[in-house]
Amino acid sequence: MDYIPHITLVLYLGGLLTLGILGLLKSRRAKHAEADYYLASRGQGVLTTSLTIMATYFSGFAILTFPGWVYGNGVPPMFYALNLPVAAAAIYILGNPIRRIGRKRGYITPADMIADYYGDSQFIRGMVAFLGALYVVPYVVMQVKAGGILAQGLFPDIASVTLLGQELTMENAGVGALSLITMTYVIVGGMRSVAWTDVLQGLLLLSAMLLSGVVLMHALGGPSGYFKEVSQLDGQLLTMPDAPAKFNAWHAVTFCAFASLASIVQPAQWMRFYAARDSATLRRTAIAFSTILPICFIFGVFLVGLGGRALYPMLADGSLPVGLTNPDQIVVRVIQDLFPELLGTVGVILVSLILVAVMAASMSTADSNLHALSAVATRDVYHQLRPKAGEKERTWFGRAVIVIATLAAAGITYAGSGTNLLDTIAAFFFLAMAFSAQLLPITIDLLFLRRGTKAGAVAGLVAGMIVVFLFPPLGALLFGEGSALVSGTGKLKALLDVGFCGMVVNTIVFVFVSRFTTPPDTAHREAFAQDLRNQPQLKADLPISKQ
Amino acid sequence: MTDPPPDKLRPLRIRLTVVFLTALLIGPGLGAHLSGGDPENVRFLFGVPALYLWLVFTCLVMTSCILIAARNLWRDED
Repeated sequence: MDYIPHITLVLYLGGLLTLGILGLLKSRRAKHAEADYYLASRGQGVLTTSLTIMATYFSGFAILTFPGWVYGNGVPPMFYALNLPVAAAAIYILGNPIRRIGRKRGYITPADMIADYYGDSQFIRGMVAFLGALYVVPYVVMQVKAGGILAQGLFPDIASVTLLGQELTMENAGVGALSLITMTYVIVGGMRSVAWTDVLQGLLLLSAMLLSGVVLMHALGGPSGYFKEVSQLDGQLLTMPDAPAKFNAWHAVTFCAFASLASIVQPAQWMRFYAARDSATLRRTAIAFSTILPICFIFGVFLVGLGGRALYPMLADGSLPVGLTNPDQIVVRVIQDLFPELLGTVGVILVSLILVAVMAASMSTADSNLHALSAVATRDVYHQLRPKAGEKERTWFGRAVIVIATLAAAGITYAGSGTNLLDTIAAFFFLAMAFSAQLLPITIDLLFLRRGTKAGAVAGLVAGMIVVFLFPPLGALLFGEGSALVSGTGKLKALLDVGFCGMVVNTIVFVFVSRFTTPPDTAHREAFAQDLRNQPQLKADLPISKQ
Repeated sequence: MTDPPPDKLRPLRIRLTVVFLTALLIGPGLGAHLSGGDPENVRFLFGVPALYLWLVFTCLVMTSCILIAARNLWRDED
């Protein structure tokens, strides 16, 4: 039984490398190296698309942070799950026109589309790429770090390992191993490997989320026993707080509406829309996203967070109980305590699988963002500097970016917590979605309205970014913790999602500047609209209910 | 079978959008405050915290809107 975690981990990592090699073998027949490497030749089906979008959407946040919030604050944070139907709707409403025009015009990155519409300005392309990088880079670093911490959790009795004469903590060894494996399969197989490994990782993650809730409920005597325990909890955990308390209604609404959309228009997801085979793929993905994920949260990990509070109550002074150093650990704590007791050897195996699933959650986000960073660096930076570079050269450059980014992420993590660099990156991480949200106004304009101008788009992006920089923790780094500005934005942050605040200013500036500047040429706009429009093929353009 | 003229779908599109957005606004907002009660007087329904049941209901409404849209409005084109 002692070797179960080792075997489980080896099987999982072996599976990832195998999928990487399979992705490479499949890509050898590809006609267009770049489109195949970054978008799997735009041929991904519903299973791959839906699971890779789900796995990319959620990092370890899904199984650590979110249930940790519920443990600490009860039912109110659960309302943040309403972001899932919003994201599901966006997958089709935004994703399908993006897919359609991406296919027609050969787009690979978000900047390809945005720069093409607003006039192929290097500046706007650079801005969009920069915003994408502000999202992607912190995510890669923080997920690599999370993977190391989780590896330590998987092997709690091993303090250190010796490698090439050097002693490494389990956390650092985990960072190194996971970085190396992730880097290998992303380099080798591109989007195919990333998406196929996301299928494996997504299935593990969803199963773990649901299973943990089911087993906890069983441990507490079924639904009636579970809710009898929960009913004894403090009333503040079972009712909605007023603003500006944490998880109040205002913040929940802005988060659900805008953070979800921000996560959908980030570079890795945008590329998944381009990569989808057809509209049916995205339609079915939206259905899967809106049904499966809420079930896994609301009837899965959330119940672990809430029931965990009954099983491991906080101490009288408000501190965490013994054995729980962080609310984020509640799912891990519950499964480690309950599964072996209830299920014997099967329980031990499931614990290892779930811990691997938690690691998988981090890796699936890291690999998607690494891959997206490679595309952005290649198409939006390298290709602009070397327009004559061929597809193969650009693809190899993209691979080099992955190596450099992975080594940098691992290096920053090795440098350790508490260093200025890692703390700065953590600050960017907490505002990553807010940066990504600034792409929303121009996305909506070019997909549906087509009234904005290049100058308006640029001005809006800059204004939105500046607003995000004013909020803590970045604002605190720039202006000091005690500044009146940061104090004010800190209060606003308690009420409204940061990305939403940036977007409001972004939109106002975008509209205002667009009124006084020249829009793209009418013929250009009409051609763009034409390519965005539905072009039915042999099968009539019928809604499903009429077929 | 022929495709219905596009403007016949417009009322359904509008209704679904209104219901979806209303659920998003009211769900964590007014509805949550009214359904859950206050900390001194928590509401339960069939032994389950009413706030939790309200979340389930709100999510069900929003998901239903997506399923109806997917079936009737979102068309497979290729």
